Amino acid sequence: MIKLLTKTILYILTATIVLFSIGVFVIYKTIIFKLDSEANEHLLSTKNKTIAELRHGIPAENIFAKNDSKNQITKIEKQTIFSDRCFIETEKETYINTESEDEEESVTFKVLIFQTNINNTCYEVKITNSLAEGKEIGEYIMGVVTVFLIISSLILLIINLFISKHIWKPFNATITSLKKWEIKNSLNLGHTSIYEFNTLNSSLMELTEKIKLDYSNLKEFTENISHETQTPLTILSNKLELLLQEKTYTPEQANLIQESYMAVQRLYKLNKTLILLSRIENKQFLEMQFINLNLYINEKIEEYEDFFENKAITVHKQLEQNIDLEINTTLINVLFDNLLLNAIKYNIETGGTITIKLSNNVLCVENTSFINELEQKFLFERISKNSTSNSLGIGLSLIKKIADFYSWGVSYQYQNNLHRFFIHFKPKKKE
Amino acid sequence: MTKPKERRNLTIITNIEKNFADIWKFLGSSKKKSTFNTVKMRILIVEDEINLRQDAGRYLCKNGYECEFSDTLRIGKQKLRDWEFHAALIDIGLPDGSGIELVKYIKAHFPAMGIIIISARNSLDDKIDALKIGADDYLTKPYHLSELSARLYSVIRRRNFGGKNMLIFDGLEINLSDKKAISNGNELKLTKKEYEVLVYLASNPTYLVTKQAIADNIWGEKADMAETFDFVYTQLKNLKKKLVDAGLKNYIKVFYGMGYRFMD
Repeated sequence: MIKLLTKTILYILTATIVLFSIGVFVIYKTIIFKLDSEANEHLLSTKNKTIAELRHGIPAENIFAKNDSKNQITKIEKQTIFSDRCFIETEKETYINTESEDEEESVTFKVLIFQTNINNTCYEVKITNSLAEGKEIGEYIMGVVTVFLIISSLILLIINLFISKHIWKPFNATITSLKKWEIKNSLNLGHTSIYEFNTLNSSLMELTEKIKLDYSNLKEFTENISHETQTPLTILSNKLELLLQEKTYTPEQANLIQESYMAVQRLYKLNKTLILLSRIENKQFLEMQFINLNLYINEKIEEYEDFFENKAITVHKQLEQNIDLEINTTLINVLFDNLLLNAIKYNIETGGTITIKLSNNVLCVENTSFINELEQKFLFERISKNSTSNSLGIGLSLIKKIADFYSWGVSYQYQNNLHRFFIHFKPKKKE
Repeated sequence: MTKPKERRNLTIITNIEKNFADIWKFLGSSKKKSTFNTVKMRILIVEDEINLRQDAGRYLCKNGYECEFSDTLRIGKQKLRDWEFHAALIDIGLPDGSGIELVKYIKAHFPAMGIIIISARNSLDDKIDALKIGADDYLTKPYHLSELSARLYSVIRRRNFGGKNMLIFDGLEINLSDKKAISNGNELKLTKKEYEVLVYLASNPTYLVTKQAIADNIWGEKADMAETFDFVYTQLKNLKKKLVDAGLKNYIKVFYGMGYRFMD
């Protein structure tokens, strides 16, 4: 992709070169034509002058210098006179430059030969005019023109560059603001003197306001739904719990109650997670404290001891770095709970491994699993469909949300039948 | 324990609710053996959602408590003035104000009462705030009734029995202050989790406590795993074995696929 400015300059440059070549060609041709007609005129005026001199009775041999081979007057027989017509011929003569002997120069001459009858004497006159001088002038002019054209097009190019830069400034500012725009903030684009850019800015501002409004409406709706479902869910669960206390139901009924109860419990958890997600989005976890990640990981592993034992999972620790993170305690718990729970939940039936690595500000949780490689695309999205799991998606989106909250990176890798989840921390230095 | 003061203002929230309360009071008192043997514990439930307060009432009444209900701050205060309570369950979000106000009111006028705050918001800060203003415990919606009952049980026992906080069953003694289970004078070697499960079940005697509730009680947020159920099973199997090995009767009855009952 080419930048707008580069593209403009390229076009202008091409156009300049083409126009410049045509211009130079036309100017050259004009100069040549002018020089030619100038030489012809000079020859004709010399002819008239010579005739006039001959009429006045100036002897023919005195008109031109004797050793002038270029201009000659010869007396001829009368019969040869055919008219007053004259010929102008262009002759080329190559001679050796007297100053530098090696160089051969070709000089173009214009020759006028005419016959005239003055006082019953016939003369043939040959007048020669060298074009060398004119050619030199022509070349000189061409040189000046060329230099001038090059300089002026360069200046134009630079001016164009500056103008373009200046004119596109508001546009670039708009792009920069758009890039930085987050859905929570209003997009504030300044006023410019260019009509089109102003229209663009105001349209963009309207558009983003609309998006913002839609987003917040949607968010509010989700939040309301999550909160509003809490009470009915609690009621449902409580009623089922009371129903379980009855002693008169058949095994079949018991099964139905049990299954309903389990489904309600699942809804509970989902609801809790959704509320947690929206609370993170609403920045309700601002209280931070420094936590030593190494100590924290050790504590967490101890906390999960039972779960590891239950599935005979071997846990390896490779903590090569000692970092302190400034983080909200609730969030770090949610983050690690989800990382470890996924690693346990989707681990193989028995005898799996979990490796926790920490180096170069990157945490890696690696585990064996009964599921194959996960699809990278939409992996960390909230509504990610995965046939083998129903809560993996939401757990991962929680991880992503928390990482986003602290501008950390998350990534996933599948290698040698191992699932690897990475968190790229950006630890702040402790003051 | 002192007898309840005479009711000066008779406030009936709804007839149905009162009837329910009476029925459950009756059921509760008719049980041969209540949790606290002789003394009836009176609980005030302040919750604006009728279903929630009634269900809590039903569950607790069965467990031998007497319950009074209120759906607003105003009626709650009124009932507090008219009756004597041992503990209160207070929902934070009430139609005419915050439950926090009621907690402060109770702290000022009835310092001996146990208070459990119920909130729809699950946050550590809220929990700390609630405990700071004097609540004994904090419970987030949604909750299991067995959890509510166990918390209430624990609060009341702590307040009323202090250092000699013992649960005594046939041959089994649970010392809640020292966190020990004793069988015929010998301390049972229970893991922390086994002890917690035992106390949880014992504070819901004869009730069916679901596996999910046990898992939530012990592992909290982490209970959201299929594994935890196998796990509950393992824990209870071990616990039962330890109780039987100590020469005790089989207190814990399994209800397949559902949960467990502690049979006194």
